Amino acid sequence: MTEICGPTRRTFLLQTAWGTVALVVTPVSALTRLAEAQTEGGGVAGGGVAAWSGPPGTARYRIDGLPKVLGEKIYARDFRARDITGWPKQERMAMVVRATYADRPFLDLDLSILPPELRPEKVVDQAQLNADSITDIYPDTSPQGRPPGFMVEKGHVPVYFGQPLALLIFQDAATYRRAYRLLQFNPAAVRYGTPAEPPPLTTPYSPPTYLTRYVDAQGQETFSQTKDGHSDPNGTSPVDLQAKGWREKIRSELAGSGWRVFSSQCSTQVIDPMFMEPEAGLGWYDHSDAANPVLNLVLGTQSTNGDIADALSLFSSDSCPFKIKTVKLTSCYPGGGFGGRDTSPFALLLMLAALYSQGPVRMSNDRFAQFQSGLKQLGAEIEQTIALDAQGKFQALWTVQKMLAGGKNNYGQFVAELAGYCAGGGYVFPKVAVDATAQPSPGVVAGSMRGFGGPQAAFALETLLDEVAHQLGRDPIELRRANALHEKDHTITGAPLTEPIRIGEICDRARHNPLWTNRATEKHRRATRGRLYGVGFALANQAYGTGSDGVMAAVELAADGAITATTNCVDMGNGSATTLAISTAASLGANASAIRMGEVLMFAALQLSSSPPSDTGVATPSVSLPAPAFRLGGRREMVLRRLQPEDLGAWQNPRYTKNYALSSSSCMTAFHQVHALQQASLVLFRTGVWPAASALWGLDADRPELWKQTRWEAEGLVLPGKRPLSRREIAARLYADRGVAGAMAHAYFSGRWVSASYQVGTTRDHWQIDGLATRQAGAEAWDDHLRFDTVPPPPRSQYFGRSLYAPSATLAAIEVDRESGQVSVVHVYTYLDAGTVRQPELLSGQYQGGVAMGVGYALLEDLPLGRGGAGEGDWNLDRYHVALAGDLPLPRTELELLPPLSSGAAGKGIAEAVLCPIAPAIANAVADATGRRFRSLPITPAKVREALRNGGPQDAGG
Amino acid sequence: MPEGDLISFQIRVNGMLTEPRQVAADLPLIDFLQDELGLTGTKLCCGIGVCRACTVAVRNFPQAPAVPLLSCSTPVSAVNGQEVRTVEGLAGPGALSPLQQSFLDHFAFQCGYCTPGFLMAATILVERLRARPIPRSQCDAAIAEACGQHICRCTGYVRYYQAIRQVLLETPGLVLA
Repeated sequence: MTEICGPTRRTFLLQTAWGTVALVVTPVSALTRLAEAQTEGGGVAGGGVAAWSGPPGTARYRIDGLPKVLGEKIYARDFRARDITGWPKQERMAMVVRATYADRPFLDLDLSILPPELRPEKVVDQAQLNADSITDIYPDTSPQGRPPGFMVEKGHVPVYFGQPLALLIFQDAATYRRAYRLLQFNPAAVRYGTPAEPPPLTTPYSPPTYLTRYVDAQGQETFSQTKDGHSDPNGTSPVDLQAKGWREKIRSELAGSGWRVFSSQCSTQVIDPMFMEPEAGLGWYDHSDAANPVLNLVLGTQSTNGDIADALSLFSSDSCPFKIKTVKLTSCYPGGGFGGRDTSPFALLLMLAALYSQGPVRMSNDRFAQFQSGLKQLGAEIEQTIALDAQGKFQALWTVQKMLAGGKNNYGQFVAELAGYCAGGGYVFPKVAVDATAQPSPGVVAGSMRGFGGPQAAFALETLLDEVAHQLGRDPIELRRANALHEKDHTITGAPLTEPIRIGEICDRARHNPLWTNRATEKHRRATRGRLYGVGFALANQAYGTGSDGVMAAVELAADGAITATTNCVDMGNGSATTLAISTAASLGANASAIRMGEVLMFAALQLSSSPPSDTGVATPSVSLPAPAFRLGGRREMVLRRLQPEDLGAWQNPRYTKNYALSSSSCMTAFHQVHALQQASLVLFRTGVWPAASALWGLDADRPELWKQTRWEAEGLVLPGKRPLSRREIAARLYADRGVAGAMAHAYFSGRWVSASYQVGTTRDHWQIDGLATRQAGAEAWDDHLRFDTVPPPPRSQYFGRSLYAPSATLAAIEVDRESGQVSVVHVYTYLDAGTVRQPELLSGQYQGGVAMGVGYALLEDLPLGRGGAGEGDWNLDRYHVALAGDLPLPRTELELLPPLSSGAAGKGIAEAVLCPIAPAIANAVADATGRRFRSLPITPAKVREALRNGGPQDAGG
Repeated sequence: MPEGDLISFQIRVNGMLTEPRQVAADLPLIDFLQDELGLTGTKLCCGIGVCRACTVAVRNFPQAPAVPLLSCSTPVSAVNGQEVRTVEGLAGPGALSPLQQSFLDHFAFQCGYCTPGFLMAATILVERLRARPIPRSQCDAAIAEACGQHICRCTGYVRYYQAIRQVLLETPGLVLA
């Protein structure tokens, strides 16, 4: 049976302050009959059990494709309590009432507007949570000076629009449906006090990012983040004072060096991820067995480990009346993500609903509620100054990026951090000052949407560069080409570039594109037909990964030769399940026939620890530490990374890893997750497959190096002079000999993969992984193998910021209707260095989706974060416009991939790289067409009309 | 009709006649499909009839042409006695529909949540063209008319349109030679 996620339930026991807790993660397939299972014996797909699978290393279609075209239950929203074995059939419904004001105290709900039969069974408010000692598990994410809390306390002013006021639990769906209609949009349902604007929020979410870099005239770097560590030019520490001094020098040079200096102010809007499936889920706090109360959850999540960690945190107080001995999480396919599910507060509210419900409860946002409460992309206000010398070489960059976050921090400071790292784009800047901060507001919570600060920074820089080129009379592509980063150059953090950065090659290709070379002719031709036409170019050097990434994967061989792969990440539609399933082929000769996604608990067998910091904030890893079952994903790992001083010596502890896991991200499949699985597959080959094949071939044990001469062909494993061996035959021998049938690896990247030596049986080798466990055929348990000869990350890598890049550039051609001001994108042509592409259809699909999102960002989407915005609860797709097919140049959406530099080149994470250049390319095209600059997104017809009406030179700023 | 009034409701869904039952007249059809019948393949996204993820095919009477219907914003009272087809009813015994197969072959979707809506709209288009073929030159316009208001956030629509186009061109009788 081919599975998207295997049905195996694994139980892991975790020691907590209140005793042992059993954790069970169940993939969605265990709840429902998967479509592929129906194909056995030539079912609906007509292709047998692995109909999706193509030749080794390729897929005929997505591994998750069949259930999706059959409409099977795979999303959290599809499930009802009655669908789940062992659950009571009766299902309650939960509704979250949210604040529609953030400038006046919340007094109380008024549920008298509901007839008695429609009133909720239970109302949970902050007072209830206080009484039960259930505290905000992320208290440090409230703006400075504002109280933490899941909900608004009566009498208090809501911290932000959309903040929960109360949780209502209704007895059944019919009651809920009718009550919801009466409560939704009804101002009488909530009583507020007199408006009393709270004091403004001025302190950015911590930590802010400040980058200062100075390279002198001789090319000597005298100060940078990589060289000197994190600095704050407003601070008082020695490094802070140095940063301040270098900035003063840059400022004086900007004023007195004879450079050409250009400045701009621009802004980008808040947008909604608008993934198609509004968040939904089931919860059931089953305390029928007092000795083993169980919290059951059915969720579509980006981070199973994060959800479990959150669940446990809820029960951490001794005085909490709810006890828990087991957490069972069913991980469903998310119906889209784009970052908007990353540490979403929805899961926590569902858990609260479960606690207070007399049986299973379902919570399912409608789109209004999703707009009101779902994580948003941060808006931005960016001021920047660029200086060029007489030869047109970039000399200095000074940028202040104010990222507009909401009233509860959700990665905002790290979105700002990456925006800061992206401020310099793909160019050499010897002198740099960047301030990047996430500013709290009473707005809806904004977080880690696709691009993570990259789109905002790219829009600011690339539109200014276009303007600079025009003012200097330079070709915009040529100007970029002349200042492009290359291998061995340094980024604005001072990080060395240790891989080819093919921006120059991209520029060279783009300059010869007929869209570019014919633009004047085409502009004239279309002008004669009454249309304004323009072509714009923009470039991005978007990083992928977070700069400190832990990933893990396992691969197992069954006795019949079938391969199962397991990963902690989930597939949000980006295709990671398929990509991973075909990534076993290089070492094992076949695609995995099953892929388990969202599995985190089994990796506890690796016994790795990134170790919580002590009071001093210093990591103190120790072999004697109890192994963590899992690590918190995401934000806390990132905070720790900033707090911990670099300690490369810690890597000598074989249980230590710098980062255990992050939540799933589309741009971490092709390079990171594939690497972990390929390494695990290689280990399985070397320690399990090869010994079994050697035995079948009767090879001498002292010739282990012969494995390098093997290759997989259609008939099986081939060694010159020996008969081919089928994988089934090898597996049979492996199981007869009780050899290694499974390999589990953890890998860590920061500047390079950490590598280490391992001894597995008689096999000793050095692999690019920092943790390894293997499983013997027939055994249940995994055996971990302590690493030795560890090669840690390069020194200073934790200050690099980022070191992996997928350069891209877009030529966009647009037309403008003079009368309406409507901008139509008529052609988009993108260049991309994606490294080695594993499944071209998946990659081009990501690109085409990036174009659509980029067009929406440039022209259509806009959402006030505060008043008048989605937090007021009345936003939906009738007001918020994402790109429809008619908004896009479908037949003229082209992608040109740079050929990989070598056959063994790795893949690159491109989900964000294909998005970042789209909006600035369109904006530059509009400037080309109209002669007006638009520095505020989106470029709406009203703005264009206004600019055209005003006529005259230059600016049509936002 | 006051909210919550019950009606006796019976429809044919994917060829099967449902048991007659008392349901609220204003119950959205999608809620009936999902909560009463357990057919969750039809997806709720916007709930106000904009995104078309919830599209199902409806025939007013057995021989009538199927028309798209937005099940999120259509009360059951509007379809009582009619025939509804959902994504769960597209595959025949032992075979996917050509559109389902084409969607797979073209990697047309990503998260897949909007896929049932596209499948139903395109299926209705195929049925319409079977009755009234169009010139090949009108294919793209016909696809745009059938699917142009459907929202997909993942794909940029390119592969959906390619997949549908291939079915139109390769299915005998849909496009005039």
